[in-house]
Amino acid sequence: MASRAGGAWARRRPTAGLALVAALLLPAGSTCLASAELSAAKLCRKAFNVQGRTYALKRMGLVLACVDKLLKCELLAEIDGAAAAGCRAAVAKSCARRVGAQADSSLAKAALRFESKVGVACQTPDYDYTDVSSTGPGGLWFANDATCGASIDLPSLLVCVRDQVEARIDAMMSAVKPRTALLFDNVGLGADFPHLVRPPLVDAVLSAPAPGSGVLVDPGVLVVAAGSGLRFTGDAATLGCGGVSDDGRVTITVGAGPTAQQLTLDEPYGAGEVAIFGPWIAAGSVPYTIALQDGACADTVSGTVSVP
Amino acid sequence: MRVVPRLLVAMLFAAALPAHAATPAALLRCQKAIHGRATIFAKLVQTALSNCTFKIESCQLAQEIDGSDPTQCLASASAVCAAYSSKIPAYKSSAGSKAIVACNVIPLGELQQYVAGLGFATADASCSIASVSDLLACLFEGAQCASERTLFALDPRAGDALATAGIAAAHPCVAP
Repeated sequence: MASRAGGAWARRRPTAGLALVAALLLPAGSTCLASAELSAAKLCRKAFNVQGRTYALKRMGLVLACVDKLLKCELLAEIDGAAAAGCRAAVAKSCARRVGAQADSSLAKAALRFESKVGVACQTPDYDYTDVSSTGPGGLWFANDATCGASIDLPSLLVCVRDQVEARIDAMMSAVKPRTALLFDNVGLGADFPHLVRPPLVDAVLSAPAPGSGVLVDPGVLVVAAGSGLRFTGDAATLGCGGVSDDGRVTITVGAGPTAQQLTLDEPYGAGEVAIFGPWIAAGSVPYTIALQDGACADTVSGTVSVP
Repeated sequence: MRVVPRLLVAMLFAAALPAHAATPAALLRCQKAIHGRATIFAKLVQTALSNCTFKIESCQLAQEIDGSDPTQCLASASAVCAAYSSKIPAYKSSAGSKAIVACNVIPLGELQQYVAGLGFATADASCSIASVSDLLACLFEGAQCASERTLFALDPRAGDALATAGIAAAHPCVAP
């Protein structure tokens, strides 16, 4: 036993000697002997980069895949005259599961992963929000951020930074796929994507002269500047007709022939239910028809969209 | 029920849409090529520049926290950054070349119109677009800028890091 202990000590002595020499020879603060704070700072910095990039790309992938499918529905209708409503509804349902605001959507989970992984890396005993925010030595300078710099703690900073990333990524998606925003708006997903770029829109509110009258107010000629779209909403106060409050529908057709654009507004009407047409980039006129159907009530008006 | 005859309306006010050349499949192929190449390009730009800024900032943090001499570290990191930065124009050119294969068969007007098109009429007003090639160049230039702005949102030290590395001028969008 004594000889074994003596042997172990004999093995340790050269190692200890080498460590002493290294400590004497290596400059103070050598990266080979990085402090716990430095290691933590670099881990936090890396987490922002990696998790931020991962979230940005995941967001692009999910959103653009959905838009691809919605675009297909519309182009088949606009060019080949195929019926779009069923296609649109089916895609909207599957897209809502992927990119909807609910906590179990793929997009929401990706957002949570960004916040939780960066949160874990950046709130440690050696490096915390004070350091992340600091513009002094060793800080990550987030206090300089004009939008997020005033965040009171790390979780709120991460929510803010994620929003900033979304703004930039959504702007990029709008540039490479310009119809994204309006395609999402027309299937009820647009409200969760405020940063998507929308063209100028002319608003037309469809209403009845009196509540429950079942008669449409004729919108007349709708003047829409070139490059602008036309957004219809329904007046919840007057359009409803018949006894039931959620079975009314307004079908709007803009254009002529089998390739006309057609969208519906379903009861309950209001700002959350939109039908956006165009935009048109060439001067001209486009016919429209608006048909109200609600129980026994039915009315139709027609007119033109004028693009000066 | 009031109905204005549709035929009369259509005859009097014909839609100003020319006969369509591209099929839905062709338009979708082009659109997919654009967004697919843009996604790959964005990933390459963000990876390259964030790797660069991480290397520079690691040197800076080592000096600020542990008092290390950053000279050699920064020289090495700057060389790596220059290499990363020099690859980005090639990435952009490659993205454009691959997208144009799918898009050059479509008239520019049909890429620009919204209805029965892809809606590129409102592409960056600062770009002069006379051809499909011009459009794609503009789009990928914009994608690079958006990627750089995303980097800055995640790293407020990034602009300073790129300036330290001597490559800030090549990436002006890494800024507030």
